[in-house]
Amino acid sequence: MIILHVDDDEGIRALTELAFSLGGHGTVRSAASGAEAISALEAGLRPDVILLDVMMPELDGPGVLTQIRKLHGHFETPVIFMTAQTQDHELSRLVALGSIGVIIKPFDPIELPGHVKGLLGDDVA
Amino acid sequence: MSDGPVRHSKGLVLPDNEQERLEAVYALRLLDTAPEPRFDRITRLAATVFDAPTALVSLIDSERQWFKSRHGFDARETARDDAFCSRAMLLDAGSVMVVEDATQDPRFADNPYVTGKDHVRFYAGALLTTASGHNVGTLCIIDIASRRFSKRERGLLRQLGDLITEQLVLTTERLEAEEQRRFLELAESISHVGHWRRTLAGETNWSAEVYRIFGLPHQKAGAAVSTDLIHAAYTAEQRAGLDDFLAKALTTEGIGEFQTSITRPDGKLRQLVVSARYQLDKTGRVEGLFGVVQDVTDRHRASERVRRSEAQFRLLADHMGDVVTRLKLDGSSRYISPAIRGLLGYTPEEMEGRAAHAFLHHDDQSALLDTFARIAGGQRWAILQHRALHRDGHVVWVESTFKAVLDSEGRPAEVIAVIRDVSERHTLEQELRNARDKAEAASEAKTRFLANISHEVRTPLTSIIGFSKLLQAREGLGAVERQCADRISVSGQALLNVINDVLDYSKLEAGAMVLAAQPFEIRVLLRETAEILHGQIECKGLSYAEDVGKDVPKVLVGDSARLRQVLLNLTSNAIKFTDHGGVIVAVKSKASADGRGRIRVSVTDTGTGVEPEVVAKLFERFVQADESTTRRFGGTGLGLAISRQLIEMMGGAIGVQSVPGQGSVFWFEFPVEPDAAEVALP
Repeated sequence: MIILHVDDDEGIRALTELAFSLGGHGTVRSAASGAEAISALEAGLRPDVILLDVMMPELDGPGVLTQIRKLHGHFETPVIFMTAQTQDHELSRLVALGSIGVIIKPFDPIELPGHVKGLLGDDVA
Repeated sequence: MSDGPVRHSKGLVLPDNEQERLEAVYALRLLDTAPEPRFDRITRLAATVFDAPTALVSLIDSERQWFKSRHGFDARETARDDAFCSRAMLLDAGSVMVVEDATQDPRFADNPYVTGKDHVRFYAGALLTTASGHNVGTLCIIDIASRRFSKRERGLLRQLGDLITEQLVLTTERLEAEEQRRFLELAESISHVGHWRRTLAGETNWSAEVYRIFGLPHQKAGAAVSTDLIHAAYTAEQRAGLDDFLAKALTTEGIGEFQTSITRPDGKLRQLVVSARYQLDKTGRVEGLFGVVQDVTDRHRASERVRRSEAQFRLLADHMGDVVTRLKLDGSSRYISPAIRGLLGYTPEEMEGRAAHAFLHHDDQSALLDTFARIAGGQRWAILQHRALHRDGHVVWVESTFKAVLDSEGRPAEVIAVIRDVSERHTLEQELRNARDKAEAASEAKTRFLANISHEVRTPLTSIIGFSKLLQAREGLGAVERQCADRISVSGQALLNVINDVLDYSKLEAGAMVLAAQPFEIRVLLRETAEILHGQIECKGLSYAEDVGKDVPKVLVGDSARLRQVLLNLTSNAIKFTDHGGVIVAVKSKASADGRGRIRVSVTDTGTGVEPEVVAKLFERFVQADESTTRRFGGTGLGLAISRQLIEMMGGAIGVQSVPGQGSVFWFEFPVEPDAAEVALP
C-alpha cells in the first residue's frame, strides 16, 4: 500500500512513516506542505490513500483537497483527514468536504494502519 | 266626480267647496261649546225686532245644524238634511234667504218641520260668511205663521247677521292669540327664558316663566310686578349694575347681555342672563324696554365643572416630569406642558401649533407620521421610541405614548401624547449591549484561544505518546528503557486528559455542549471502560467486578461517549484513591416518579473515603478531597464538575456516599426513553 502523508510537523511525519513501515503495512511518502503533495501527485505519484493534516500554514487541508480533486486521475483518490481539532461541528465539516474519514490526533501509531485499512475497506465495500 | 251638483244622502245639494267650508266651520272651534251672552244678546234682539217666536245662530257641519245661540227653540241641534239653513249654504256671501209661506214653497212643502207639530211657515236667514269667504251658518228667525218680509226687514236681518259674523272673527282671533300665548309660555318654560316689559315710568310686567325663574308665585297676566319683589332678589351692587344696564338699553341699540345672579325667596342662588331692547311708540319715541331673562345656572354649573376639570388637567400636566401634549390629528399641538422646556429647551408657546414631527430626528419622522395615520385610522394607542431634537441641536431619546381621544360618535378627535425622557435608559441599554457584545467577543476569543492551544499541545503530544507507544511495543527492551518509555507514555496521556478536561469545561460553560441521542449497549460500555483501566487495576493489585441487573434493557438511547467519560472519571478516581481491596461497578434499572425509567450506575470502592465537609463541594470545579491530592495524584480538579454538568444536562443526578477510611460510593442516574428497549442498534 502506498500512502501519501501531508503534515507540516516533522515529528508526526516520522511517526506515521514508522507506524506503517515497522509492521510492513505499506510505504509512506511524506510531504511537509500541500504544495509539496500536489507536486508529487503531478509528478505521477499514485497513492492508495492520502492522509491529510488540516491545520497547515499557506494551504490548509481542505484547500489541498480541493486542489487534489482538480488533478487528472485523482477525483476519487481516498483522502483521510488527520486533525488535532476535536469540536464536533469541525469533524462533521471535514467529512462533508468529501473525505472518507477523520483520524483524531494524538493517534495510536500501532493501531493506525488497521484504522486506515478499516476506513478504506468501508469505502471500497 | 259627476258634472252635476254633489248630493247629500237624502238628496241635499252640497256646495262645490263643501270640504273647505267644513274646515272653516271646524276652525271656528265653536261647535259644541257653551252658550255665550254675546251671541244670545243678538238672537234675543232679532226675535224682538222681528216679533218672531224663534231666532237662532246655526252652524252647519257635515251631518247637522248646531245652534250656538237659541231663542225660542229647545233642541241644541237638528239633522242637516231637513234644515232650512242647509239650503242657504249654496247662496252667495251676504245673501238673506226668505221663505214667506213654506206650504206654498216646493222646496219645503213636505218638510217634516212644516208638516209636523213644529208647524213652521216662515223662515228668514242671513248667511254667516267668514273672512275667507266660506259660508258657515246663518242667523235666522222662524215663525209658525206665514208672513211678508219687506226689503227693509231683510236689510235689518242682514245687519244683525253681520254682528254675528264680527263675533265669529273675534272668536278666531282670540283663539289664535291664546294659542300663541300658550306656545310662548311653553317655549319659555322649556328654554328657561322669560320675557318682560318695562315702561319709562318703571312699571314692570313679567311672563309666567320670569316668575318661575325668580321663584315667585305667578301673578295675574298684565299685573305690574312689585318693585319690592324685584329688589329683594338682588344685592345693592347687583341692582346698581342692573339699573345701569337698563338705563343704557333705553338709548343704545344692541347693548348685549347683562350677567348677574339672584337669590330667590327659598334661598337658592340662580345665575341669570338679561338682555333688553328699547321699544318705540307710533311716533317713533322710546316708550319702554322689552327684554328676556334666561336662567343659565345649570349651564353655568356644567361649564364650571368643565373649567375645573380642565384646570385639574393643567395642574397635573404642568407639574409632571413627563411632557404631556394634546395634538390634533394632523400632528400640530394644541397644548404642551411646561416640562418640554427641560426636555427640548423650547417653551410651550414656541412649540404650540407647530407640527410635532418638526422637532424629531429626521430618520424618525416617518415613524411618527405612520403612528398618527394609524391612530387617525382607529388604532386606540401606540408607543414609539424615537429621537427628538433639542433646541441646541443634540439628540434626546424619548418614549412617546400616544392615546386617541374619541368624540361622542367614537371617532378619533385628538391625540394625547405623554413624552418621557429615556436618554439615560437608552444610554444604559446601549452600554449593556456593548458590554454584552464585549463579553461575547471575549468568550469567543477564549474559545478560539483554547482551540488553538489544544491544537498546539496536541501536535507535540501526538509525537510524545506515539513514539513512546512504538517504543513500548519493541521487544527486547531493557528494564530501565521500558520504565522510561512507560513514564513518558503515562505523562503524555495525563497531559492529554488535562487538555480534554479544559476544553470540555469551557464548552459546558459556554453552553456549547450538544448531547447525542444514539442507541448503545450499557454492557459494552462497561467492558470498554474496564479495558481502558485494566492496566491501572493490575498495577495496583486491586479486584474489579461488574454487576448489571437483569432488568436493565440491552439497548439504551443516549450519548454513550459522554456517559463513558463520566463512568471513566468515577472509576479511575476510585482506582486512584484505593490502595487495598477493589472496585465494583453496578448498574440498576429503577422507575422514577414521572413514570420514565432511570438507570443508576454506582462505583463502590474500599478507598480513603471523603470527609463530610468536602462532600458538598466535591462536584464544584477545582475542588479535590485534599489540596495535597493534586500533588499526589495529579488531575485538574475539573473531572467531577464536568461529570455533574453532563449528567444534569441529560436530566439525571450525580452524588456520593462516603465513610472516611472505609470507602465511597459515587453514583449517577440518567433517564431512559420508555421505548428505548425497542430501538435497534444501527
